[in-house]
Amino acid sequence: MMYRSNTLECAPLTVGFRAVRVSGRLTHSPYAGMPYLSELRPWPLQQPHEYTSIGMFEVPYEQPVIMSSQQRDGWLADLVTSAIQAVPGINLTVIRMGGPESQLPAALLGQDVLLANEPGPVVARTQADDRDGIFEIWQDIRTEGYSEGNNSLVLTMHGAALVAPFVTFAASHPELSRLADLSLTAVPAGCGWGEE
Amino acid sequence: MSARGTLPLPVGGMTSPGSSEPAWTAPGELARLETPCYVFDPATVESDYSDLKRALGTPLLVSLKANPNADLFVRCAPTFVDGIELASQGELNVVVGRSPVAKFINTPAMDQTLMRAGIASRATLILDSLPQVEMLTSLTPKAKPLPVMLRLNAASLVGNVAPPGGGDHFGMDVPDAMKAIIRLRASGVGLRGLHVFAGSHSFKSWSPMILTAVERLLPAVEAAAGAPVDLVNVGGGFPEDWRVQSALFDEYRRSLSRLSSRVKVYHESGRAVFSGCGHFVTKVIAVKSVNGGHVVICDGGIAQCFNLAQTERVMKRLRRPVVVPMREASGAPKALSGQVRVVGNSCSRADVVGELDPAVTVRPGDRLVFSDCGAYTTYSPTAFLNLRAPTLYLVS
Repeated sequence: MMYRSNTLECAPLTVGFRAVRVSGRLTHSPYAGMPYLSELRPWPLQQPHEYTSIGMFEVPYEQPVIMSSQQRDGWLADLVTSAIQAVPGINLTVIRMGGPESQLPAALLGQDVLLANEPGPVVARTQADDRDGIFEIWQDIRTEGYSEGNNSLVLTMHGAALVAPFVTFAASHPELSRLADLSLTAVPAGCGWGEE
Repeated sequence: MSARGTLPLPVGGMTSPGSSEPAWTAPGELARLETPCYVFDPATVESDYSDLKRALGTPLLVSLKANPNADLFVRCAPTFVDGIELASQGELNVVVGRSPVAKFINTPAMDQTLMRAGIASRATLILDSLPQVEMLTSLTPKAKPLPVMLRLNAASLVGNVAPPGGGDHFGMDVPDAMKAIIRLRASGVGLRGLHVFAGSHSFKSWSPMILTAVERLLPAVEAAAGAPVDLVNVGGGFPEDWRVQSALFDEYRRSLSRLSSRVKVYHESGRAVFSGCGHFVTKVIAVKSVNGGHVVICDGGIAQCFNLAQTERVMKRLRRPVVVPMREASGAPKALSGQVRVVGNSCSRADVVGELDPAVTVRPGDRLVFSDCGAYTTYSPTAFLNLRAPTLYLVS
């Protein structure tokens, strides 16, 4: 039976869990009130077929754009840095990220950070090699009008010894603790995410 | 200064504890900004748009020419539910692919490239002249435009053309509009509606006349088109401080009821939507005295914020920017006397953008913040001196 909670209380998480997942949705910018550089530019379009093609992206999205791509990357870099400081056992971070839209912060280019379009298979492959202490960040933060996504965030800490310190970290993090639709799921040793 | 600007707290952003100024105007935060620059607040755009739409009681199009910044558009597009008006391919390229909001394209300079791009973008074309009508019909039936709108010349519509050839150069006079409708009908192009706009700051004097004239013309238009029209965009011309005319808006809203009962009435605005969202920030380069007065020389002025030239005002009343003393500013604060003029960096004698109270101390390095500068930020008469363009920031 997995442990589920819609808060970040960690009291029940003593021993016996092999992984923990914190998920939720950002509803405001972590940089509220602060200026950021305007990045977006007009498209270099000229021909009618180009306009027809790009029109396919004009669909309504429920969630607003709340950050620029540089802000998102900076925030993820801060998240990685602070998580590694709070949970020293992390030895690999895998982040869901498409092609970078601007120069990435150094913290996202470290040798123990991997950027992937889909982190799941990368994590599974790494675990198959008996490597643990993997911090998986699945983010869907909108930074452009055409980008799909719902500003959701799923953070998974793989490694029994890291479950409790990671939940403590998440509970004290100023933004993670205020995510909308917040939930915490812990997986007992010997169970997969789908087993309840 | 708009009425909104007198509120104790700015709309959007965060404020410093115990202060009515946004947090980003603190010296430490201003030091991070590359000047001259603009700082736009999307929350203010959304709030000002909603307030104006509520005051009018009709759908409200946003004229993107007033602020075509792509980041601001992406942040605010969900609010612009009624549509946006575009006047160039460059503006179209800001919005395409970024929002499903309805697009309207209107410019007397629409060429075939823009027309084709607009049709491909599923924009509603607002045709400005008989040559544009002919251009469109030459593209059909291969191109399949949405039903179009016609722009009527405001002076012609209200019968206020004196001397002959007077009025502005936008849109068609009424006889040409009737010819256009017949031509479109014969070509199988639908007529969606009419658009009239009398220009900036025209709301108070022109809008009542436009309503009456449109109502009078509609039966003939619909008879010529062979079908009822869907909407009429009666323009706007709202000033940035439209809130001080609340009684006028109440009366105007009531006067819309007859026209609204037979057709969808739209308004459009750029200045009133964007003006309040923008601050222009410039750095003091030097302070000097001339002929008994003082001059504060800045790294930005009318070359980056032409609004401060106040060319659309009959009486130019110099703005008084907020002076933010910076810790790293050089030299002792200088006691000023006489008239204190704030000037920009364009080497133009017209580049006097503000004045300061002589009691204010100012040093090189200090920042000056001009509020209500969010509209028409890209307007620049020349590229004289190859001066640095303003850096653009948004507030999260």
